[in-house]
Amino acid sequence: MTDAWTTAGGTIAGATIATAATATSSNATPPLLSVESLSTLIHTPDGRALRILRDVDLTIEAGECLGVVGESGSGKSFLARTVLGVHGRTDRVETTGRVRLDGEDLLSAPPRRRAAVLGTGIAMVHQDPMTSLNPVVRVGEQIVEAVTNRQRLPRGQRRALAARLLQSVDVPDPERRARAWPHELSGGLRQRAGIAAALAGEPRLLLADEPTTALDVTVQRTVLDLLDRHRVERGLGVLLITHDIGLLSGRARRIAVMYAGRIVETGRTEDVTAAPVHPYTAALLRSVPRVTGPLIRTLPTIAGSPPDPASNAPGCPFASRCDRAEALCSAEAPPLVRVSDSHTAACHRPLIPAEESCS
Amino acid sequence: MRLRLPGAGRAGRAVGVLLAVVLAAAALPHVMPGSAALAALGPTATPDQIAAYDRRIGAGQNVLSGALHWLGGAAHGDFGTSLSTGVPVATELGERIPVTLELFLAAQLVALAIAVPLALASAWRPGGLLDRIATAGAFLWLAVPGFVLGLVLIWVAAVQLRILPATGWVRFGQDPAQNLKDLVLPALTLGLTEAAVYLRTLRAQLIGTLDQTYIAAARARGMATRRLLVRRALRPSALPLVTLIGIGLGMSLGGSVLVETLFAVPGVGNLAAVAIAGRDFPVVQAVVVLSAVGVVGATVLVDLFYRRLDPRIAHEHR
Repeated sequence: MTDAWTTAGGTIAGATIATAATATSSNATPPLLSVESLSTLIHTPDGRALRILRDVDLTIEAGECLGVVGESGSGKSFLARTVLGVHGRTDRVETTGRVRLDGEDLLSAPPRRRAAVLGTGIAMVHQDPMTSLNPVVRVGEQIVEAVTNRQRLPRGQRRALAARLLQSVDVPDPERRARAWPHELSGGLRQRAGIAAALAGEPRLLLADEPTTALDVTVQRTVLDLLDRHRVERGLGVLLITHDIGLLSGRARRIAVMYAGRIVETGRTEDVTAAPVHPYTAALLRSVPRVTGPLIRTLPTIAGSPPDPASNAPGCPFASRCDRAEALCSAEAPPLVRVSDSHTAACHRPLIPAEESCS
Repeated sequence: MRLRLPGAGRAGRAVGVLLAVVLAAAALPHVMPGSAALAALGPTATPDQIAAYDRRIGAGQNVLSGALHWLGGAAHGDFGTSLSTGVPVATELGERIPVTLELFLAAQLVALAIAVPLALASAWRPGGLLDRIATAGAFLWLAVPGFVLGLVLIWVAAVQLRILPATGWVRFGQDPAQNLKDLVLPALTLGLTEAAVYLRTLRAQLIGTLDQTYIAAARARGMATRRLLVRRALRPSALPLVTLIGIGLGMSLGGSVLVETLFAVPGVGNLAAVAIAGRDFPVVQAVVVLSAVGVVGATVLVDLFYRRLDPRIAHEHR
């Protein structure tokens, strides 16, 4: 390895492209999910064009959990919705790139084929269990939707299926809960119901969009453990979106850090958290509250706010908030380059001093 | 300690409203302009005849004893006798209420059949072509007075095409086919006007509902658009519409004066119009109280229906 800073732009971030051998073997069995240079442009009613995602590359293998982390507005949720292919009714979204599920590109697939994947190929767990269940439809009826949208089931079978699904997510007294209205359940139970609804169609990929943000810390852990269990048992691929990078340790094998619609750093969770390369990742890690150390102290925050998605300013989007920025940073966007075999970052002034520097 | 019975406050309010209306209705002979006696007996009546007539209708009594007298009769199903026809008011109403209700129900069917599908389609793509046409159309439609619409319908269907009768009414029991034919034009006139109001109300509510996360969640589970709209979005959006229909139902017991007169439908509204013109106080009194009973009763019905539509409401009031 004479030059560690090989450009990885345009290929699958995180995937090994080091040797020809590994490249061919990954071609033989395509990853469960492979997102390739995914970009989206939203056309707003007032005529502006917002770039929400810019050249996003990522892969998820079956049974693997990829953590996507970033602050509010970095495009994490939008990434999930784009992978799913379901946007707001009124959004005019222009999407380019590839979203491959088991090798099949969904973006270029006909609408009917894409609809067939919803709930059965890819399923989603939403952030707020208080708003993601229809208040006037019984919990059980909603949980079984992924199945009943495709085939008619008599009421007795629907109830039995709902109860079985609720039981699989550790909801006590599942028969009664299936007949309950959403408002009769606690937040934790509702999120379990949301997970049960996502699992109903036996999907291969689960997009979990901040599934525990709205929950008590005590409940958070059990819900995440539940997701882990199903990931392992079913070989489910999980895209776990969170703004809390600390939550990913021990749960996600790899991390992708998003900023302003770009992936700015990816790598194995332990590598990224132990030795972040991008100053933004480092800042995110500093802002995680610690149990050790002085009891009262100021939690470090990142000054400033992410750039306006309507702006087309050149350079690194983090430059204005970065204490390491230099002239080049606001002139030219840094490409995503490799730090090591499985670690990439997009930064002109990376935190690891590059021994074999990139002059 | 206050004893609280479920629904006691609501029932109390309803009784209060009804008593107030009975009082106001009893005051009618005192406050309505013109003399009932003169209207009924003609200009040649002697003062003695007029005095006797006034005693009969209770115009000489004070309002409170008039109201009590009326309530006493009503308790036995006796609402007095029509001054102009001599028929007991109860008999008259018994014949006309079914006609008015039939017209109301048919009009609701027309209104909902037009408004619900249009609202669903418009709200799914707000600002789209269909939405713009429907919204502008509803707005224009609202500006057209009901009787103008009725006249146009008569001209087209009865005069030009000669497929439907312009006026008249045959009871359903007598000749169902003819009854339905008689029903079409008045029901269309009432229903088309209401459709515009329903469309605007439901569309606005649906747009809010369709932005909810639970709709996105259902889509993410692969629910087809039509099923999503009908099975998942309509019900949480229906409360304001139910309120409107309820108000309409309550008001309808008083009859739709305009449409019933225009099409000569022998409903309560028609009766009221004739009674008011002829100073037929017992009839007017009964219709006024009937309207109040209708509104109060419909409010209770709407309340009950709310609880069926949205389980959270039942939860709050438990």
